[in-house]
Amino acid sequence: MAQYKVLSDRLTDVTAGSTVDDMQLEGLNIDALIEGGHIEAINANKQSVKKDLEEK
Amino acid sequence: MAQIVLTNAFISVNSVVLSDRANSVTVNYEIDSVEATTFGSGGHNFVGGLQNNSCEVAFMQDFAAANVEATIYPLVGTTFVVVVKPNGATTSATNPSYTLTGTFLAAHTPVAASVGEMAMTTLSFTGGTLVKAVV
Repeated sequence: MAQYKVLSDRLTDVTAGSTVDDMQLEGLNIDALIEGGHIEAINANKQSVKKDLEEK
Repeated sequence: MAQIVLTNAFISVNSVVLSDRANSVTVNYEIDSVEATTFGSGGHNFVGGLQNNSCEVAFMQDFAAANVEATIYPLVGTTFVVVVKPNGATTSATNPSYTLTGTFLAAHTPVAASVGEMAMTTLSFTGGTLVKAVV
């Protein structure tokens, strides 16, 4: 399940700095929210990817 | 029940609240009338068909981060949810919520105004299913 950090204080029912998931954004255009600067994807695999790159 | 002068309408587009950038809103709830007239009828008979809804909102353009342009531009050509309430964000019997799900935005005018005028973008959201809620 993808998670997103809320960047904007204009989203309904959530506050900037909080985290939302796909379920909470059901029916919404998530790509448009990202492009509009309202949310950003949280990369859950960031650390493991970084580790993989360091090992190579 | 009192009449209402619209001074505090709530408008969210794709869950982004843009009420403070809008100065006009219209929600149109319509159901297609499908001809059901048969031989022997004395006049036209109709049955209800598909919903044929739309919503028009006039926004004052704002190019700031996470504001009107940033929100609307990526939505052109897509479907999403628009919510309108007549008087603020709290839904109640006297402030019903009108949720238009799966509505489509075909066009947007990022720059539109004459010299000295407020830059506006008037959007027409078409299609989708309208649900009214009072709680």
